[in-house]
Amino acid sequence: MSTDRQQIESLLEEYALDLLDHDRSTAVEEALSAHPDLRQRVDELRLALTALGDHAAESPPDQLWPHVVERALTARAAGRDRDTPAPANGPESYAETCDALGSLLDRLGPDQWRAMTTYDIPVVELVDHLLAVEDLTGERLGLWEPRVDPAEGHVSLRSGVGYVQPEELSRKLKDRVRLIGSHGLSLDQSDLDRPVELHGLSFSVETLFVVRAFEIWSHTEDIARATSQPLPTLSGPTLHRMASTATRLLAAALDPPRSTGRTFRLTLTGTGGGSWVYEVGGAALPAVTQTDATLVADVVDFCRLFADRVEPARLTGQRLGDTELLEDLLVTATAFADFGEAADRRGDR
Amino acid sequence: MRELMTPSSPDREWDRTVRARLVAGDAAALADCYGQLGAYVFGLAVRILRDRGRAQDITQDVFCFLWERPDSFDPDRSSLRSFVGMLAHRRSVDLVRRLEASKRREHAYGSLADTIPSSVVESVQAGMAAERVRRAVDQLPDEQRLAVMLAYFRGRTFKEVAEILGIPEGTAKSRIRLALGRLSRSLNAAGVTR
Repeated sequence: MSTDRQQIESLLEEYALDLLDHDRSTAVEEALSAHPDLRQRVDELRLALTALGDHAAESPPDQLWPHVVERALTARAAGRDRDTPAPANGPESYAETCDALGSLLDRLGPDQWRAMTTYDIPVVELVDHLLAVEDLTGERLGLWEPRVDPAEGHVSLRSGVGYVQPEELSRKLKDRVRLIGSHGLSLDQSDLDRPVELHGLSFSVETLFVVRAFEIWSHTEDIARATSQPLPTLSGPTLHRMASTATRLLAAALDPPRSTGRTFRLTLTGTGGGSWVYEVGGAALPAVTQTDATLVADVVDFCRLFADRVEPARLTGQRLGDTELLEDLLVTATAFADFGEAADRRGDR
Repeated sequence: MRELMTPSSPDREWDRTVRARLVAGDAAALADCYGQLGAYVFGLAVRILRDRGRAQDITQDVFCFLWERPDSFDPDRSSLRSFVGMLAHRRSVDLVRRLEASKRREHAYGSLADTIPSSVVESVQAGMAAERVRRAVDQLPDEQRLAVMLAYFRGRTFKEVAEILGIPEGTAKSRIRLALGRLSRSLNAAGVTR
């Protein structure tokens, strides 16, 4: 069929009314992609047709909705961003964030290692701190023996390497995380499910890797901001794993007396996002549960909140329902980062 | 922090947000869409199919498609209401055509010619929605309203509309175009732009 513009224009009403046969409909669709003004006319026609449809509105039978839900959730499970394949596991998330950190450190010039981060410490000391925590992480995973600083009488959370050139510091850190990452990637699920302790908290090994991924990613962003470098972009699978773990930990930690038994939904939008429904105290709930509170936010912004890089009041998105519960949720989310940092400062194991 | 907007709000944020929530796999977003648009979709399918059982099937199809393919809705191009309306209409008309292909054309035309004018006019008056929408449709001249209703709710081609109404095909086409043009201008004037 000819795609002459005039001929296409003469068919627009029939196209909007779904009256064209397949061949002519296809020809019009192809023409619309080349003529945005014609597409706009079709959109306007369809809007006009909604006026006719509104006259016909009629409530469906009550029993229809359960069938819709069952069929929809069978075709596509709830809870994960449609465009994100299976989430990364803990070690994969850790490896990706370490790669991003390593790439950033490789780009830093000598002056940039002295740039001040938001903690009022230079980049070089922040990297030194990360090296120390990864030393501790490797010890917890059984990869090496603990280092004890004789002067301090406990495991030092300074790396203990003394002053080294930043490049050497970077190399040591990359070696550590490579060993830890390789070890993690070699573990099967039963190994990943085993308990391990860090900073006085008990996690599964898998969760430990995600917790480490969070800290490494957030400090990578700190360093990038301090040195005017691009922020790292994490993949959907890794973001989904981080967000999912954060939400689970948050639900378990959230237990103010006034919220006992209450429920919340956290929907995180963007690549790697998802939707989680929990009861305060940690029990996961069915996807279609009507919750007392709902928070909708961007997945990266939420992860920054969890890393205490975004204040609750500055988190953009939507809040519905129980405002007190939402406030507790947001404040508790930021406390996870505080706990880890405080433990670091105390030198806790 | 903003509260959840309803689709009747002039702010199109509801459409954008619910799309993002659907993409994120938020089942409550599907429930919100169904709650807001289920009657519209079901009612449209009933009017076209004249069969509540089949209309329920079409309603399921539409909302399941929306859940499986939320990315196919572009909030920059249309409202969610327009989008699901298009899905429902297209599926319903396709089904009518498949069903009527097995019937004798004279029988189909005869029954339509006997029942459509009054039933279509009644459907205009029954189940009125927003006041501005009702006025926009009511203000259509009768011959234009009837012609566009035959095309939209019965899936009649312009040729078939002409045969039913006993008018030339060009006249049928002209009446439908004029009706759609009037509706579009009325809705624009009333601030219903998407």
